Amino acid sequence: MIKKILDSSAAQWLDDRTHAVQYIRFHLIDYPTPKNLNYMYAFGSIALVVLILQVLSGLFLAMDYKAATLPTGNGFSLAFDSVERIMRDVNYGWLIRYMHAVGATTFFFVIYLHMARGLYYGSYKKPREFLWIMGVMILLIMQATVFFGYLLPWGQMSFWGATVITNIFGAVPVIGDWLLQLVRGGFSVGDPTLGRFFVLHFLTPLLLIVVVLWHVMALHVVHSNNPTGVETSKKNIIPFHPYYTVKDLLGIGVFLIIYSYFVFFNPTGNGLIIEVNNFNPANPMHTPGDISPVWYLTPWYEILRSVPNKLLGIVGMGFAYVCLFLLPWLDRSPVRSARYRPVYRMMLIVFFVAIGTLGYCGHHPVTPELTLVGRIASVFYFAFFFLLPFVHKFEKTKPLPEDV
Amino acid sequence: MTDQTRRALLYTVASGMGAAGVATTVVPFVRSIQPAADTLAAAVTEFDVSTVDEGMMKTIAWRGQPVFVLHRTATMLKDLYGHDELLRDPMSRAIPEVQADWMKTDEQRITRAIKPEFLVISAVCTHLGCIPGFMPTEGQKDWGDVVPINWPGGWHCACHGSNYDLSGRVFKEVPAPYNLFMPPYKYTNDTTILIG
Amino acid sequence: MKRIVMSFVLFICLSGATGLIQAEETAPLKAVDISLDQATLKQGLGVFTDVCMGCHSLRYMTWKDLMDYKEIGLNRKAVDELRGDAPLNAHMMTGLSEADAKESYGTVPPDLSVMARAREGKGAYIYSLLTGFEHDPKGRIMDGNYNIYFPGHRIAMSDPLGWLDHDAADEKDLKQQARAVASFLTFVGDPHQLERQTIGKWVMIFLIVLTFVFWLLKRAVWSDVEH
Repeated sequence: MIKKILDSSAAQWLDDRTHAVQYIRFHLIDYPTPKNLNYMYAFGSIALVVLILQVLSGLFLAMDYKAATLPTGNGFSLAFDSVERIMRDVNYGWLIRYMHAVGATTFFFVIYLHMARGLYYGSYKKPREFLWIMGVMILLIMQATVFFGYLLPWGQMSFWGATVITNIFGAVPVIGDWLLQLVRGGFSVGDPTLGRFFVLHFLTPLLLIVVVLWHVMALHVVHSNNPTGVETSKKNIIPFHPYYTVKDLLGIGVFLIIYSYFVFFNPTGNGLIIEVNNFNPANPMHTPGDISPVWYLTPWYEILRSVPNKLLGIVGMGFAYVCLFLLPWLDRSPVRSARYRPVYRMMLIVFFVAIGTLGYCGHHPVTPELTLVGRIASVFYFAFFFLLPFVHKFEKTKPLPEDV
Repeated sequence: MTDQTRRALLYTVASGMGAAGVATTVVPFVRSIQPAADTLAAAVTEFDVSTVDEGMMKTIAWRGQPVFVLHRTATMLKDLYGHDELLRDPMSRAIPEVQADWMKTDEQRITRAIKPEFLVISAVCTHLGCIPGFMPTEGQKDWGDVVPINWPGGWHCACHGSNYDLSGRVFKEVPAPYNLFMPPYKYTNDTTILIG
Repeated sequence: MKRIVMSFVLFICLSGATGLIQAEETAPLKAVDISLDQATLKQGLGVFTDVCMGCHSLRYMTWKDLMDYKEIGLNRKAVDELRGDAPLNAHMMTGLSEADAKESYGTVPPDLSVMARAREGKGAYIYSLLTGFEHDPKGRIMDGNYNIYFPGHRIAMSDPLGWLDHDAADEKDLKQQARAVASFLTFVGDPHQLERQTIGKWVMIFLIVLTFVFWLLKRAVWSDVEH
């Protein structure tokens, strides 16, 4: 069927003028892939599906959402009301909104697993350094997008989350206050902030789509790594279609089952997808008892919180991202995959646990114990990057296979 | 079954089911841009016709579009007869939108109202949706030559020159194809109508 | 690879524990069986319009919704009796003005449309609150304003159901009233939840079958690759 369409004279006509068919063949059909990719390699395709779902549901939500804090009585606002109208009056508005909210969370879940796979099999190493950097850029753009989007329902968590995070700009020396007012469009988070965040919540996904396409095109230049990390010989190369199209489809199917379970049966994810407090309309005069970002932002937030100095905390958080960018050059071992690097593998596991711990601490109200745990986890986070340049000197790698 | 046919069958089943799944997902998205529950609930208008003086007209909103309520005098009602040859559809039979269930007698088809003195009619020109101007007096003396010389009184649409008489019946040789549409309405008491 | 997956599982478990930790000094909420059947919802609606609506509104519910949501499924006559002079499309708003409320209670009673979603414990919170009026052991807070489930224990709403010092004979009835209100507000907070679950079941069945077909397809396609 697909072959028939691509061989048709209409496709040929289009191809003569645009190379459209050649692109499809190159990227989706003939793309040579190692035959030993496991299911962890499906997360890229899954992430693409989530991106499409997010863009679609977001567009339809935007048709009925109103970005205005105009009070409508008893503490409610036009923005909050418009979200509830989507949930109640718009046909299947509840479905589209829950798809979008659950999608945002699962997007991060999928991307973190995608990154974890890249870390484990050393997919960030030469010649894929820039591929990894684009990936970190994608993560940053996603975090910005979700941050802008989280303000839109104009609930308590929206308001106070935005207040806390925009205050980060205020900590910049000298121009802090000026920058803070520039971001907020006022002295506090308010109507001007909501308006610009709505626009930015549209703009950043456009950027995201561009970088994602670039990421995929770059991947198809340097080609996929594989679980062994060694170069693949010709005889172990198979075309993307049909082998990985069907394998990724299976992954997408499993993903959609989990995704739909949350959309239809637990759309607030017990507060991990939509927080209980965000069903209270924003009240600039009252901060809720426990405010924290959503779980997929908390590891970095916790690093910020671990440092008992406002400016240094922000520097620390920024440095955590810088480390991710520098990763390809920090790791100097010639061996890619953690399968053959016992020390790196241990470090990586500690690193993952550290991130999980940071996320956990960042999601909870400050207590002395949690602060201590958060600090220790922060140290482990950075220790991973500081030790990495030296590991290859003493690490005894296991013998590499000749071929995949 | 050989491997080849099995594979082909699975391809067909998988792509068929996948396509069905995608098509089903499209449904809620399309439904979401159709009128929402609150929009539909607001599509009902209540109006007291006794607030319109004899010979006068009021324009009220129904579903965000204007509806004319004209309180016709005995003369106006009498003048509805005798110019059938000028009209495209004098008995309002062309399409369902210009008729109503309660139009049983010829008189009702001409006056186009449940209570003959109160005409309730859509104010949207059936040509391209402009709102015709109200020109109730006969002849050209009040309106100039925008209306025909034998003008019986009615509505004239300034956009493209369509004319309607005082029952909202369209004239021949104008661009509008149909009489003004009849909104669904009923009397809930002596003077109150419920449109929608 | 397994360890990676394990560390993520650990991470999720840690995050999932969020709801379990509460530093509040309020009493742990009473368990309640929230049921969204028509009889309970109608009873809850009755208690709501008789008692709660004296002060609280449902800004996202219209009288017409009481007919249109089949889960409640009131008929037109019943709705007409409840709404009085209010238009059918009007929202279910209390007659108490914000100014009067401030004068009488010192605060504006919150709207209850999404209250069942806006508090930890959801329906159980509402049930517990309604049946949580006690005498202040320290005697500082007036009877009727002392509630063991309210943060700080001092609540402006004074014992709406008459729970304090109720006769033992009334206990069952009062508990049922509180349960019905909690159920009603749980429904109102997310009025498409039952429809959502019904659709969800079919979606899940479809996706599981589809994924099974994908699995068969994957196996068939990969049968000629040694791996």
